[in-house]
Amino acid sequence: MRVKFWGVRGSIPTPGRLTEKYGGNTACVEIREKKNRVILDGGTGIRELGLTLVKEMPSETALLFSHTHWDHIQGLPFFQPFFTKGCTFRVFAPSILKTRVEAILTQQMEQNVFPVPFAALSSKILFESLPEEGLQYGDLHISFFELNHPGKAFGYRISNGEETVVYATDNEIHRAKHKKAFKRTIKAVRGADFFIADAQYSSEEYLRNRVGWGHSTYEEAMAAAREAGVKKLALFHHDPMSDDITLGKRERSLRKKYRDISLFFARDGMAVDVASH
Amino acid sequence: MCEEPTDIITLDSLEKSGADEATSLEVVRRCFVRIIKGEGEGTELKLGSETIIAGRSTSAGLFLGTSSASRKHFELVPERGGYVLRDLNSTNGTKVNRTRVAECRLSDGDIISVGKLELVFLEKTRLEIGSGQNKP
Repeated sequence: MRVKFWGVRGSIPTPGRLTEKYGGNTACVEIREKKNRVILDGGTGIRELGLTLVKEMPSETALLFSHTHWDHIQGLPFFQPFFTKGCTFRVFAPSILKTRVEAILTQQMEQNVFPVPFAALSSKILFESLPEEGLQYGDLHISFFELNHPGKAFGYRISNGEETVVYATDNEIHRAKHKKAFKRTIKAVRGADFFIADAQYSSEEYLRNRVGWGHSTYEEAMAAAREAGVKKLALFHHDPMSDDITLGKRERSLRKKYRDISLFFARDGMAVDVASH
Repeated sequence: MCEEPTDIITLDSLEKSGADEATSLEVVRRCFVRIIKGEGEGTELKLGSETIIAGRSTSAGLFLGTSSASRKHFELVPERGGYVLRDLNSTNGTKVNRTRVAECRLSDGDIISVGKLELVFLEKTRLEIGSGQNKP
């Protein structure tokens, strides 16, 4: 399986020279396994992904959303394949999220905020419930689990039978302050080869005034990854206040501190093969 | 990104250089890769508008003198004003800042590793006085 990061920033896009290394696009990740393609979230990173996808027509893609906060959907009105006949999207969501996703995607393209209505899109977009036990999508098995985030969010576990990727962003876990969420995350992530984890803050930033905001720290993501026996950890959903210099320093420092796990800070445009070490 | 300050053009220096109303300032970005560890240390290659193949093959645009390198190991592709590194299904893989990648958009200071061989990607941006002929 190949994982490609199209948007790694949390909360709001951060264009400009100070963030061009790690990237300023909001959440969007693509997973490819042979002919199967899964897109996780539709932040601003999805616009550029769309430009490559339209070259591979006709196409069918599974689309999963962690939740419907802005930074996870705001790229969709500019996602060219949505406007392209021959593109099919199967939006899989836990039933509690399915109705919300459909409503919000429609609302974000109402005429007062966007010129083209959702109903006028030329592609085929199907909304389907993701059952509790998960489902098989081509060569991939997709299942979900609940995250700790205001308004509720979901993480996804995607496996081809040999390799497993877990995507869990917008998830506040903490060994002291959010024990249940921490344990729930470990259970869902256990044994994964590749863990894409919310790690928006340093511990200091988090404890200063960000408890309850729905995001985690590098240290808690690391602790969860270790306890779950993860092989590779991608720290994701970078804080908009963290520039390249800050993130670079933190990445180097964490690597020095935690040598027993392969970790990196996700960057826009970076692709990693899950099987590689 | 460039962490070091680039050239600064002041109004004063513009006047001294004879710049007039037809003059435009252009941001010029030049990118290089330099071998910093291993065979060929110090070798620098300026990147242009062509894709460069790096590998152990003697015909490679960028020769990687290590047995860890495949004949065609990775390529550097100019894209949207920058460069993207793509591993060419090499046997031993390509790392950027110690992370093995299939693909990565490069940024100033990134360290590319192939086995024990290390290269650095450098990006130098400066303002240059253009002719202004491209003005509409």
